[in-house]
Amino acid sequence: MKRNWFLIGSLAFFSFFAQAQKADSIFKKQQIKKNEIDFLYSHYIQDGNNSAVTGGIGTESLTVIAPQLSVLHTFKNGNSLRTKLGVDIISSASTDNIDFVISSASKHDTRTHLDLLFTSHFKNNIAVSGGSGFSIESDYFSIPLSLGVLIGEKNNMRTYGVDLQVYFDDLRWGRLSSSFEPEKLIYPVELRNKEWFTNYTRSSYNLKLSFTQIINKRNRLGVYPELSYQSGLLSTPYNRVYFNDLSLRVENLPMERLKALIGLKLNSFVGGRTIFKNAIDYYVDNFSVQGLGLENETAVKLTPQFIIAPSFRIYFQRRSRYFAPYQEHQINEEFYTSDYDLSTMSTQKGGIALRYSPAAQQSGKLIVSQIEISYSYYSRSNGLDAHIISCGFFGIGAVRKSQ
Amino acid sequence: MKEKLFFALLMILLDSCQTLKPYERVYVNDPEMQLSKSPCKNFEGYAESIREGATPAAGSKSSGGCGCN
Repeated sequence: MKRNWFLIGSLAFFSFFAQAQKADSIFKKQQIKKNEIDFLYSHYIQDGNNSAVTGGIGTESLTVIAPQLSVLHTFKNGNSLRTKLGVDIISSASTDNIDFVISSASKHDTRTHLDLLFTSHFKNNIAVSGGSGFSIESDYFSIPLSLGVLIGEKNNMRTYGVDLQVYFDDLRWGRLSSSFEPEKLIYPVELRNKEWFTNYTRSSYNLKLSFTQIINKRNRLGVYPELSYQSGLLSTPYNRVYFNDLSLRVENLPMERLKALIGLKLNSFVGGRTIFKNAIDYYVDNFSVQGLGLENETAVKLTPQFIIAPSFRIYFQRRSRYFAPYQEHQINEEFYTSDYDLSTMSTQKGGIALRYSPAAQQSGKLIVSQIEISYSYYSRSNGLDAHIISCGFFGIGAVRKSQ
Repeated sequence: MKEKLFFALLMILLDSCQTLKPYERVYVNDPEMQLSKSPCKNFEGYAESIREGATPAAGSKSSGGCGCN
């Protein structure tokens, strides 16, 4: 009997102190402040012989160096702000041919872009994001606006997303000149005897939907329908078109373009080390362009930290009704272009990426989540080819825990 | 007809989805299984969107630019 009372008394004593300790605990809910920096360096080298600037003939030699820095700041309440700054340093032989002055100032261009995206997280797995920024180059100024909602189911099996993006563009030349003032549209040197276009603005409205689903333990699916509407100056004012009667004009495309596309992605974990990432895209627009893209990336985990990922993509395109090669347009056509980006073509791209995730091995304050280096070779059936090299350090930052 | 067949197959696929418990998500929660592309792939997608008439779905374009070089 004494033993029973001793047992009950001991339990009461310890339970009292257990509760007391809980109430006075120094371990409060921890909030994590996190700043993450991503750095990406990309190098794009292209060559071909169907430049739209020279009417579908001539060099398309182009080199782009594109460093980009992105900072993600996560606030105490879980909301986040992503700031992305990038510069594309462009060296283009075809741009030189606007005025046929080789190695003129127009050969080099710079595209600078800044994007801000604020994301707020609410209860019930709802995230709302809004963003803006700008993009500027010598013949282009663009202001993007975006608003998005992402809803996740409670069991995290399914998400629904809606994203509305709007771009307001100004195609006048001269923002990067000494006066920093936009002047006028730039035409090919021999076609500056008249104003070919009265409108120099372009607006784009993109409605992007997303639906993702975990199918089972090893498969994840994403469906991405999109609608896009563009209005304004859709022609590039310094692209030449040579007609079959040897006359010459500036490219002319309709002032409106409606695009519809749908993409499917299926990621599958096969065995214990291999992930197949498959994607298919179908695209159609009112310029009569149709496109179908198929892509596979196979990521193989050589070790838990080290991944090698070869990839392959093929793409088939039916030409726009407004496209014809050099000197094949009829003079009585209303709309015309010799831009081979709108031609019938197929493309192939093969590449390989190496990814290393050292974070698991780091115990210090500075963490690099992933290092990636990738190379791809891109080939178009009409002779254009390109080399794309990228190197990135992602998730660089210190994790601070406040009490 | 093809579109109807495609969506019928998609509905069957989605209808057969399992609800996974947290401890069953070791594979689907792997970073490589996420549907977003890596930043390196995003740059490649940006270049493709310029050199092709079509815009890839779920593309990464976040800023304007003529892409006319």
